[in-house]
Amino acid sequence: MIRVFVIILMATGLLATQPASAGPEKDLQAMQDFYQKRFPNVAPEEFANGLYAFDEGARAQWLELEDFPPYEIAVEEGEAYFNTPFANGNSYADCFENNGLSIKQNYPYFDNDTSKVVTLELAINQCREENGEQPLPYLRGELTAISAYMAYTSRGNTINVQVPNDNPKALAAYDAGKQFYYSRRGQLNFSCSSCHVQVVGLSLRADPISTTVGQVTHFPAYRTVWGEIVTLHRRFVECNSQVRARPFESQSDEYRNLEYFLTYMSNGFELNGPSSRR
Amino acid sequence: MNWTYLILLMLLVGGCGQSAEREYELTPSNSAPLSVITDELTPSASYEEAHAAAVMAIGVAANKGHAWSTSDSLLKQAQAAAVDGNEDRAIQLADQARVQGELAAQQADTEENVWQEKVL
Repeated sequence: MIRVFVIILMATGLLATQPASAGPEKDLQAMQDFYQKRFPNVAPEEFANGLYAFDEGARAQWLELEDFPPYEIAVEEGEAYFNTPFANGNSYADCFENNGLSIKQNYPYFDNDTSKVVTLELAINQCREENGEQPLPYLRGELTAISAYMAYTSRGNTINVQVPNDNPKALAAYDAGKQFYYSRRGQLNFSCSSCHVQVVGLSLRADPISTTVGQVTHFPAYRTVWGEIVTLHRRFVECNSQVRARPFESQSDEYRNLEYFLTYMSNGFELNGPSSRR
Repeated sequence: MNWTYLILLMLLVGGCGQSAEREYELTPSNSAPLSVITDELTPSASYEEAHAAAVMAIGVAANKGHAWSTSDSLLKQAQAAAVDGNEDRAIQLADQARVQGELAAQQADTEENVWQEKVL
């Protein structure tokens, strides 16, 4: 009976546990503790597998799908795009450390020069513009494929996003992302946390709701419902649209700050993208 | 009763299932569906007036980062009705869009004050 009461309190949002100004490290610890208590029988690293961490049937289907990964074509296309020189003879490899390979674990980061969060997709387009090329559309196509390839080369690396405590602007960006995550919006009056914290593990239609921790590890992801590989920001657009909020532009300040917070919440997880989701 | 069903029942009655109409009061009949609320409003004097008020209300919500997609849709429908010469319908839809813009702005103001209560 006590368990029922606690879960009802969680579901109705009456169980607040700490003030918002705790700081990134305490936020991360509180988030991890919450999910470990909520799912005591799930190994923490399994949260990187989203809903497949606690739905055996869906997991079996997913593992079968991974035998012939639907994102493989995008990765191959992305590799070809990545290795195609720009008109000036330079290439993407010239813009990134380690020639752009095995680096996704360091994104997003806070850029002190612009006082903005830089995501991998934004950096790809910055690279193009610095080399005289037109930026690519963010929601689908070539840029998503390049991002998928770069993610593929980073598989197994541990997410290590930095929010320096002595950098007020970086902390402000992190806090803005955190506020976005916990703020209800749209006609349906949902926040990200309404689903992924308050009723995590319960089902929305056929699918259990995934945890916040480990959520970003597998992007870009192939979505079966869309039949293509998509970026994290396109998923943000979809989530906001589903609660009947006007979504923000991909790579807007709002979504970049949200990605900053959300990725920090996955610090310590191994990258396992691209992956597939329903 | 299976506890899962009990939780789902709670969500339907409150919590995640709360609609903006129930949470934010614009009229005394705040528990009614939005369509009923807007039906009870005095219609704007003209479509131009209703449209301008709706654009302003939605703009306020958007500046707070909380615009609703539904108000955008209502405004488009209002514009289409006006083009078709159905002024009464255009006014009704634009008024609904304005109310949703006002609700969205209220949501933004409310969340500015309460979001921290939900932080883990």
